Amino acid sequence: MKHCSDNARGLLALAVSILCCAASQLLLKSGMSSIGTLPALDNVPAYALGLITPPIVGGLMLYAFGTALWLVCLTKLDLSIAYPASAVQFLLIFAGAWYFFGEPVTTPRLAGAAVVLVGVLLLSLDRKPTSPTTST
Amino acid sequence: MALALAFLSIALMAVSQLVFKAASLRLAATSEPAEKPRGSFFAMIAQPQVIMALGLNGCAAVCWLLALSRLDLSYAAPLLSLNYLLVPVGAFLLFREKVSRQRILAILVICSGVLICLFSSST
Repeated sequence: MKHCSDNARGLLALAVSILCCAASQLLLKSGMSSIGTLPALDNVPAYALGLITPPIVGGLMLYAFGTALWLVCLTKLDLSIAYPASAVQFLLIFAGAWYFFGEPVTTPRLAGAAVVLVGVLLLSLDRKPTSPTTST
Repeated sequence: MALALAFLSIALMAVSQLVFKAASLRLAATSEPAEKPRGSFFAMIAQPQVIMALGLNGCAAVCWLLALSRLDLSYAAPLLSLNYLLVPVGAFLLFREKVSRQRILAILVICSGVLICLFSSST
């Protein structure tokens, strides 16, 4: 029973971590695209100040939150499950880039995304997502 | 040389994931449930191993950018899919994770999917 709830918690942490990391990529992309021209790199303080915008700071915070959740997820799940499963980020980022930035959805990209999805589904059929060493 | 940098970057990324896992194992094992840094994400991130993993990740990013300055993205990007093999292999060797045949199959499928995505994204 305890295993069950640990797995569920690990999967929840994994899912939210993946969502946060994908969202942070989209925020960083939009933040960096809307900056326009930054001061020259030889003026580091001005350059750094130019980077402090809501989407960029928000993106970095989401990234930190996603990293912390990734750590929580790894306390519950095998790395050889969690890391391959995090490839779902590709699908989310592709979808977000298409929806928010109008980046093209090409057939090979869709095909690759579908193959990743099949792989993750296969992974989810694994009956024992946690090896004994990790379930202390 | 540029290719070596790309491979170094990939190796660093894989190692950083293994260090993350080591950090999480320590987190799960050493702290009593009562004193787990629950709710305090900053306390969690401030662990030495986590900082090391983040540092390795940063080094990997720098190596990757240096490699990309000398290699075509279409040539280099598919190499990233190697990580989906390297990380589970490392987890198997270092943490004795039970990698079933089904898991291996799933990992190979994911790897090929990522490969297709990266090939198509970079052209």
